[in-house]
Amino acid sequence: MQDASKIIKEWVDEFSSEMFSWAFYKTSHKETAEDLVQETFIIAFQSFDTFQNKSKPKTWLFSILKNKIIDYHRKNYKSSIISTDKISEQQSTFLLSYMFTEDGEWRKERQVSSLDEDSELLDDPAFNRVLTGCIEKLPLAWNSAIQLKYLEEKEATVICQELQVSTSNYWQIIHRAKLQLRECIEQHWFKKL
Amino acid sequence: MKDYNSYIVSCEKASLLIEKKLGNALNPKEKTQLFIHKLICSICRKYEKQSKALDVLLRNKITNEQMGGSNLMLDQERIDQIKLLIDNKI
Repeated sequence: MQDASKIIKEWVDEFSSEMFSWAFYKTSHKETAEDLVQETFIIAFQSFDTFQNKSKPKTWLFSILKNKIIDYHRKNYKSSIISTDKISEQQSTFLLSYMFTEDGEWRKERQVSSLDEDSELLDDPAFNRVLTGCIEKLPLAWNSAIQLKYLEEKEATVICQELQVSTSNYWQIIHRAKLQLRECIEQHWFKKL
Repeated sequence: MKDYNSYIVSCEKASLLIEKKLGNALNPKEKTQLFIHKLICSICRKYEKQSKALDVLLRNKITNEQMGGSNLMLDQERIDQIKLLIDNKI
């Protein structure tokens, strides 16, 4: 075990900042990101026997961290659904009346967005910062729903079954989160070009 | 008589159905509702394209491990704490 602790400590020096950055962008929360990195190294240490040199240390550590991040968003999502958090509700009401008329038609000013299939957008660091900012501005439960949707690569029914929450609620949240993100990108990127 | 009106939905509902469609979660009735709505609504047809584009952006953004050089540093204090924890677990 002497060996394991020595190796893990080397990995801490080598990878912890990179892991912290990643966890921070995925959770938008410094202390959470620090805790997740710490837990990752403890798990790595405890299950060091299962690490075989088949994969690179970095790949192995990031896969543990990714699971930790998914767990974090699951807890977040579930607890905010159960407690029907007020911020999400207020934000929903505001957002929907901002996007749609009372009859449920698109408001004129919200019909046009410049968003297009453009795979090179993410190569632009300035656009990346805008998108990070837009994701951070989502209410907690919406952010967690979005993170789970893309991190888990599972069907919505499976995600909801595992969390024991309703799928209709999940789709409402995804719908609102994407409406808000589209609008945020429009306001903070395309209108400023 | 069948209630045909229940197949006519608003843009707000149609845009929700578009999200479900992209996640393969539409039931047969919803499929028909969205199909009919898109026949008459060019804005929702455009929204679907944009929502797909947003999916691509978000998927790449969220699953990407490289942060494009904008690395943050973990506090040295926390690094020492992690090492200490590992030492004490022996």
